[in-house]
Amino acid sequence: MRPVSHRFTPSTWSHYLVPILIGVLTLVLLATLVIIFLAVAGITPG
Amino acid sequence: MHVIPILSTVVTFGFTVAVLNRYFRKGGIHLLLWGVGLILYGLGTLTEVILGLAFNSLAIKLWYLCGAMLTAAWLGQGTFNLLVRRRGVAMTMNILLGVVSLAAITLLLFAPLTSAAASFDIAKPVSTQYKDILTRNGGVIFLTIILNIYGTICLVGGALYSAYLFWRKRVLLNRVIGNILIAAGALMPAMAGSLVKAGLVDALYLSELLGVIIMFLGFWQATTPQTVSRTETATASVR
Repeated sequence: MRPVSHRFTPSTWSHYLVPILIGVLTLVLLATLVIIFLAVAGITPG
Repeated sequence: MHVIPILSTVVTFGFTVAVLNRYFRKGGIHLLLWGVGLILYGLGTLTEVILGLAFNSLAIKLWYLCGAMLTAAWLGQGTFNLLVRRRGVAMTMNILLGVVSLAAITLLLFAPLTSAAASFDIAKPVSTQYKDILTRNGGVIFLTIILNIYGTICLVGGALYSAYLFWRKRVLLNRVIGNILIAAGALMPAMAGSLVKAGLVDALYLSELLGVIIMFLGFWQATTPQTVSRTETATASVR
């Protein structure tokens, strides 16, 4: 029995959308960490 | 009474059952750790429900312990175990997290409440009132920051890294989508919690509900076996 392949070929929209999503979420992650650091440093109102 | 935490609690415990069910069927310490993380998430939202009915000193401590200190770290530890294959490293970090968690529990249990507890308003979210009520010493604040940063980097960073790897290799599209959803869902309460800590916008309850729904969808997407079309199978057999 041949092994089942799980490879895929991205569609036109997903070819651009997935890298953009990964990039945006990475930026949001960095922003979250920056806010935590700013809060620790006492620069934010709280 | 706040409706959103009730919904969050129901969804979270449903998610927990799905994760632990998979753990008992397939094994994998990462699933067990995610299960523990989700129980903590659910306890956090459950205490929000309790604190929407009446003030309770143990509930507010449990809310801070689960919601602000431990949940992200335990969920992130699950991802750490999934990605770091060197058994000794993962196990060492598991033990370290256990020790730090015990320290956090001890510090929180003995943390005194201020007189502001008497004027606790059940109509307002606990996230807008806890700073005046709960005395947090340097140790508690330090552990909160460390556990949150560690958990968020592991959980969100790990999901994004997994999504990137599957995408780059062009395999398992469902895991690409699932991991992106998990990262997006985990970021919601992480970002909202950071904004609360910073004294800025408070949308914690809503972010917890949306976050857990999106993570659940991501987990479901990532773990559902992919149906392979005839074309793909034929293509694969040629390669």
